[in-house]
Amino acid sequence: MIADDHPSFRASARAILEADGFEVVGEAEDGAGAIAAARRHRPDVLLLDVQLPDIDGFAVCRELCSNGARPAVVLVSSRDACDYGALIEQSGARGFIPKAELSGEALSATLAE
Amino acid sequence: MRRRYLVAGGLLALLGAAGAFWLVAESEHTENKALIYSLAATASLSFVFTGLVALWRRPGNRTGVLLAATGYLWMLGALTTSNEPWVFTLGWLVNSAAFGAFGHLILAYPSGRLESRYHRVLVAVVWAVLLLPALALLLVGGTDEVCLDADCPQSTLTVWDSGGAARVVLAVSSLGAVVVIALVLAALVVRWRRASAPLRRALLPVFAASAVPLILLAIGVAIHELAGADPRPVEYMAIAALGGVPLAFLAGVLRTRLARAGVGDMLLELARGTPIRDAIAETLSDPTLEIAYWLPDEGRYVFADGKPVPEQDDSRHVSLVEHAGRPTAALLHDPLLADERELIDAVTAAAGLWLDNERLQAKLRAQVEFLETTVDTSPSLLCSLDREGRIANLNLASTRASGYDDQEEVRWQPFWNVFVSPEERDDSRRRWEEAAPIHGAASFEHTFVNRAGQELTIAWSTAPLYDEHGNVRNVICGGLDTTERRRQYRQLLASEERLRAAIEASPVAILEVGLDDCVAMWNPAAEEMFGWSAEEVLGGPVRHVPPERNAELHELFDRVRGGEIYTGIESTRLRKDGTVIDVEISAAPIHDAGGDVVGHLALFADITERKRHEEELRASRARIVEAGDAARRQLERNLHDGAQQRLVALSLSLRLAQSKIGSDPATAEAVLDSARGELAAALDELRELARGIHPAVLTDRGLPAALEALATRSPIPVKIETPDEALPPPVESTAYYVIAEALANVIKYAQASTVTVKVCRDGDCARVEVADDGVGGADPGAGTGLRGLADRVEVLAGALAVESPPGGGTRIRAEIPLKPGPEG
Repeated sequence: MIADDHPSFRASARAILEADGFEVVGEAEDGAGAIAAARRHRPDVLLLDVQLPDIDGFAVCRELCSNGARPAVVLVSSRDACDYGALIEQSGARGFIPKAELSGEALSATLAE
Repeated sequence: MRRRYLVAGGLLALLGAAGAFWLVAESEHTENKALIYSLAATASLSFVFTGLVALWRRPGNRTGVLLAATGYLWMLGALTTSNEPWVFTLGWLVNSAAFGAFGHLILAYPSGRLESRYHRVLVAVVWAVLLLPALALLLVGGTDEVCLDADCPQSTLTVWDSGGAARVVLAVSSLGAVVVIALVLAALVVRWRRASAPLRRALLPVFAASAVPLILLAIGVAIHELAGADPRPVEYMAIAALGGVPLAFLAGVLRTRLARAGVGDMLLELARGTPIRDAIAETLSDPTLEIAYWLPDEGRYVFADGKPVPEQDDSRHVSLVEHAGRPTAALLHDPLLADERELIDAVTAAAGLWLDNERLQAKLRAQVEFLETTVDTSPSLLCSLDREGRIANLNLASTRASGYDDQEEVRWQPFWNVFVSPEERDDSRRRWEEAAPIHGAASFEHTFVNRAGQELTIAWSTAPLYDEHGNVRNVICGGLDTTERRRQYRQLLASEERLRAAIEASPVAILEVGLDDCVAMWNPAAEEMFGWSAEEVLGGPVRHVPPERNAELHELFDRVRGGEIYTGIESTRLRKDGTVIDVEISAAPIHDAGGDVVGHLALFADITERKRHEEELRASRARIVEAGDAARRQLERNLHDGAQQRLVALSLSLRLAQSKIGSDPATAEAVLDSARGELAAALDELRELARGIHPAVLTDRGLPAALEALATRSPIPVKIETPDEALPPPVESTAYYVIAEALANVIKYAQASTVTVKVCRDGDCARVEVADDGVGGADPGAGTGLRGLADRVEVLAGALAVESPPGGGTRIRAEIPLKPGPEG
């Protein structure tokens, strides 16, 4: 599942990941939508943008982890991982991928860690 | 000695004379009874009475006693005429005693005391020579050898009747008599030679009178022993001569009385100018006389040359001169003069009068000299005017003030001709005439030009002097030259007036506080600044100090009273209306003439406005910083949300195209086509962002071109007016942002149909105006947009004004100085 407020990114990411064999079960354009969609679709993996219009990706991640529904959350951002530092680890996410480097391969590698 | 003793002594002498007369008359062995009695009685009575007179006149002098004793002993000689043998024997024994007393008398004259050991021995020898042979002759029954008369009674003391022994005794007795007479005469000669002039004068009659009978007696004894001649004629002559001796003593006594008359001559001499010592020495016939003067302050006597009088000097006798019970002087004179008490008393009394008179005259002279010196050295003017107002006398200060060189030129001129200006002389004279004849005390101050051309101001006081009839004799004028004092006073007044004017006109609040913490001065600026009038605060404690500033106030008081001057102390003060203002305080101590601090002046500048400006400046700077932060945040956001997202999508598209290019070229081409569109959009967004940061067209082509670009992008038509001449870059930049922000606001809120932008130079300022025809009602305080614009304009010391009546469009005006202000 992909949660990002930029439609162009969601389209590009869906095309890339489906080309690499992933199935995209749903999309969300803000934090609250991401939480609701995750509960509804129960995806295996949630590709979650850090900067969302309502609540940020870290808060969404914490909310999902504490609720017991446990998709593997992979944070994505157009910024570098070093811009966020320890926040990524504290959020309970499985990993972080810069948006420009997203591919099925990179996602598989992150999930395998 | 009391007079009745003297009278008794006289009566006793008369009684003795009567007894002697009876014995002589009854005597059976006496020849020439009448002659002997008359001689002896005359001589003895004259001794006794002279002695009594001397005792009466000089009770302390033993000369009188010796004189009287000589007389009484002489009378006892009459006992030898008695027919009774034992009386005769007693008479024989004491017959010669009178000569012993006589010798004692002349050796002790004039004091009555034997003054040397030799004289005392000599008197003892005389007594021995007189009494021992007489006793010896009586023991050997030799009275008949000397008793030339036929029937002398026998001595009742005869133990060995021997004519030979009697003759030996008589020979020894005669020799002794001659020897002692010679010794006494020699002693008299020695005394005479040693005596001072006044003593010789006293001794001369006595010694002369005494020497004659002594010589006659010696001659009588000598011719009897050597020639066997009858000594009686010579003895009768000696007795007759002895009778004259008391007269010489009497003459000595009378001499004092005569000398007292010399005191009158002494006063005449003194009046003629003879020095007092010489006059007294002449009167007392003592050329060695000295006068010592009494110094009342020191309580001692000194000589005229200032030397002290020696404490002990036996060679001098001191007689004190007193007047009116006060010691005046002392006469140091020959001790023998002490016996002439009356003369000394008369002389000292006269000298006392004279010296006191001299002392008073000297005192008077000294007082006159003191007054003259005082008057002439006085810095005050002193003039004595006669009844016509003429200057009878004046002192040096008056002469100087008159401008004349010579005091005599001023004398006898009318006062007003000298000390009054010509135009006021008539008034002055009229006042003088009106004041006559009483001329009561008066005071006046007068300014005139003196003869030397100096303008002087004199403060005069006058007082009348009266003659013995109570009429005004003179008027004394005392004057004080107040010219300099008046000049200084005027200067002082002027400088005080200048200071007062400066304080009154000062825009700075000035107040004076005394050591009692009370307000002594409160200027109009203080009234204006603090709201209390001078009447409300003067004399009371300061009222404009907030309670929390009291400790600080007293610390400042202590500093300034310690002599410190301080400036620029920032604090707060209360106004009467309760508001607090910020003030800057300066203060300086006020010293009196002695250098002691008597209070201080405090100056207050109201810095409330300055403080407000400072606060605004701080806030403005904070807002600029905040605006900068906000702009950067916005920029980051725009980059993130815009160009970056597009570039991320572009990257993913290229990756997708890459993976499809082999298997599905048509899809890859479609992806690449979409990617090109993304890239173009990203470039557009980046350009727009760059323009927002700083329009390149403004930097490259100037304000008019930048405004044209703004207008091109605006959806509302914009009319633009710009100056021909370029403005300084900071001003252009600020004007651009003001216009850009204003246009953005117009586009967002105003619903306007047209906008006018004007930029023009106006003197030293650039004027910027953006006016629209929209809805108006913009609130400059509401949003951050307009506030930020105002801050930008204020950085360049400019001002921003917004007019936006509801429904009347909005007009934003900015005025920006072309030269950087103090804060730029």
